[in-house]
Amino acid sequence: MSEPLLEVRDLSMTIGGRRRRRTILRDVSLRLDAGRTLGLVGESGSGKSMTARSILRLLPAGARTEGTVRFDGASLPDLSPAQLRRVRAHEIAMVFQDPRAHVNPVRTIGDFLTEALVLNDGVAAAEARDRARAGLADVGLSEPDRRLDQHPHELSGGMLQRVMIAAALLARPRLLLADEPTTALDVTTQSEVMAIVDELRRELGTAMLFITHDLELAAAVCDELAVMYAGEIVERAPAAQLVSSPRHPYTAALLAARPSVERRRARMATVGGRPIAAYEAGSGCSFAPRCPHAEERCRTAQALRPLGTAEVRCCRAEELETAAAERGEEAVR
Amino acid sequence: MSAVVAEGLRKVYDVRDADGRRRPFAAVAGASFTVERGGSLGIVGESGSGKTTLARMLAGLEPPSGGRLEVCGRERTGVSPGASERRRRARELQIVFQDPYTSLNPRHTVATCLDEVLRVHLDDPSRERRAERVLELLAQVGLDERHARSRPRALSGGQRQRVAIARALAASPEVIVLDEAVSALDVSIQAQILDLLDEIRARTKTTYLFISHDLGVVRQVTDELIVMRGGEIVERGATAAVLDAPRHPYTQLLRRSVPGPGWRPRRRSAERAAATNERGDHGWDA
Amino acid sequence: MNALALRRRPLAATSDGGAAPLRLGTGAKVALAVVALLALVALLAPVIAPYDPDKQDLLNIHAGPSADHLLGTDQLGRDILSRLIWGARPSLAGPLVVVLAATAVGVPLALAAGWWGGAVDTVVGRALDLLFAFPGILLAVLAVAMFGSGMVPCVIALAIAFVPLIARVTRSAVLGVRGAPYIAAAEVVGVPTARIWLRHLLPNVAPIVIAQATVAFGYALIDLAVLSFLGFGVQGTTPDWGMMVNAQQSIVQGHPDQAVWAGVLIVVAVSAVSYLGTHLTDRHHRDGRDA
Repeated sequence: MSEPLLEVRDLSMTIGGRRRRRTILRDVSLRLDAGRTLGLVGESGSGKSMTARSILRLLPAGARTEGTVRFDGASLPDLSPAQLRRVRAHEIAMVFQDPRAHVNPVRTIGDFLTEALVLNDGVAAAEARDRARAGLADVGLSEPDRRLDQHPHELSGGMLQRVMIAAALLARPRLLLADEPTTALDVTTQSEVMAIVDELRRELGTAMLFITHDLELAAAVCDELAVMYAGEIVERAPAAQLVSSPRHPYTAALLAARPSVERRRARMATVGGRPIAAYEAGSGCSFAPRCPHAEERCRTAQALRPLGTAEVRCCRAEELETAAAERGEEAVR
Repeated sequence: MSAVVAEGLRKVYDVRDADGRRRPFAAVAGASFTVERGGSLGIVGESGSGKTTLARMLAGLEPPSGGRLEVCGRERTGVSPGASERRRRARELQIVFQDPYTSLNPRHTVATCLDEVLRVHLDDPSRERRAERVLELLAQVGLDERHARSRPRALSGGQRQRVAIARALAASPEVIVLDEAVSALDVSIQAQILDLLDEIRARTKTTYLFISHDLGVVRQVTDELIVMRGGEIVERGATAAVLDAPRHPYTQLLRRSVPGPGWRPRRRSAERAAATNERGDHGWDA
Repeated sequence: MNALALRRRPLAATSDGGAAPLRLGTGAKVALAVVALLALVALLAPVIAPYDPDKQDLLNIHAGPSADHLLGTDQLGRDILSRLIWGARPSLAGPLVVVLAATAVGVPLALAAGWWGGAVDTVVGRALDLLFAFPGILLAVLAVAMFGSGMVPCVIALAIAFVPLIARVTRSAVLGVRGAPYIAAAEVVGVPTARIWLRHLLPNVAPIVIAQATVAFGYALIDLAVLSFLGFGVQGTTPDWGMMVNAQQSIVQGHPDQAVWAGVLIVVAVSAVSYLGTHLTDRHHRDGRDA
């Protein structure tokens, strides 16, 4: 097997002071090949954003991590600040949920887009501006010339997010970390923005780690999906398969909980309780307290183990699947 | 009898354009609709559609600039109402807001929050009766005595939204306006609250006005549907009919944009994108 | 839109319950202790002062520190320590009255302006701006010119001058809370307006009002001390720190002791109170961010 572009192995993370350390991530492992897309899906507190941030070492104060993060063979935690800056400038780009919080409100869009090119790559100002203009046209912004001289407040959220995407892809990175890039946008704008990301990413051969709470959106744009719960990956599988036949009860519950545009259901909720964070989890399966299928042996720690083309962190995965098949329906759904 | 009748309801704001000139901006440009008692009307739209302004006008938080609003057969006029009229209106219509983190006073316990409403609305507002009713209301929304003594910061988002629903129910209203009431919740919690809303309506025959940007959620909890865009109603009908066979191009676009099995994100044609962006510039409803 | 941002809020806030107790940093604790000590000294002056502050001993003027007079005596042979202790009373009570009066007037004005907005806000706002442009000391000097010297005209003039200081901050706090959905919910649910003010609005602006009042106390203390120094404030033989700083006669004769001690006390009191006020303001803003 060839070397993956990104490989995270047994990544754990704790935050807090000496007295009260809190676990945020537990043994997160994932791999992403060049040009491929992986969706990291979960609810609040699942650790999906922290996973992405810890790759670029954008960590909250007092955070401690263990485990390996390798990008193109190099261990990211071991890089010097200068090397890390170079990786951020050229290799790995990030797009955040709230574009307005990540852009200087008093600089123009043009300044924002060209700054990195001029400073990092020594590109001449005029050429940088040409490239910025082309980037804006690529993300479907009308009148790119006028946009370059506008300020962030003159653009709507959807337009600004497109600017962020243009900025992220301007350096032709090999990996894009997209952290809920469309969550703050209207659904029609979301469709547009995701289409643009997908198209440009393919053209440039950029791999993407897509972080979202929306399982169906992730399934539509990713090759593979990993579902996180309480700081752990509970299931990983090819996207289509994960959505059509989930193996972990939590994945099934997430799918069932999303109301469908196509039909009304008699009841929505299949699990009670609320999603928990890693530090609230006990020693056994972290989903067991909410799981309708939990039994005695779920009280012991569960490992992420291979199951067909998937990996699942549930000791009952096979039986549940068989039971569902016997009833002639999809697992637990 | 109709629970809510709106005729040509308008809200016009004075805004400054790029040159600093004042000009009128119609957040809601004439909305007319009727909701029958016990019915559930969904109002969907994206940011800038005017749906939140509409909700605030219905709740009396924003005086309409024009048109007529009738709730439970009584006309609501813009004049600021006195105490007894406010009490009466409260028993007609309540509102549940989007954000469970700011819709509860951080300093009050859950019991205090509900008790305050019961003081105003119970026929027998004795201390014992109020305490009893607080527990009844909490039970209705799936909470118990322990939660009664908690302050909001000790509760999860879902629990807070249950408290907000209980507060609305405390006035025993005929109509509840739910303004993006499940949008801020995690999916697994959202499912629980949707079930709860279903139960409450089945038991109390409360009328719902459900404002949302989420077509799936609207399908789950409403019978009738209005689609708003740029302050105007562009399509209306039975929820199932509108979502299964949308007629207006904008509704079709909305429907196509919802991810689901086999869905791919799509780029719109350039001129349509430009038309939407033009409205998006103003950032209303945000 | 903003709702979706909320979904991503960390769960940390949900794990502990109840209202946070008043937690202060070490510096603020020290400042609070200093303020408490000064207040205690003022209250217990009759008990702890070794001498009558007005008792003269003309045979023993400008005495240095001794076992009998720990800080020595002044130009009339009065015990400096006792005068400092008794001086705490007008020196601290003056600013206290100024701040309480300014708060009593400023807070209702701010509530009205912030709650009703529109014309009420405009009128109140303009009036406050006008007043704010007038330095408190100048107003006090004017009052003294019209009504004669003394503590009362000075305190009244300063109280009026301090109204905008309290009201402006309160108004912006009210505006912040006014827009909170829980206020809207209380309105829709039919809670009487007076009760909304008392139960929802006031408690939630109180922390910032208290913080600002504390800061104002420090300003008032200095202003009153300056007025006393100038001879407009406390009259006659009553001891007051500001007046003691102005013991020109003694200083000229090479005995600056009482002026130095009174000056030190003013600096200590103002520093402690201001530190406390700033700390409370900062903490309020910090809490506001993650509440």
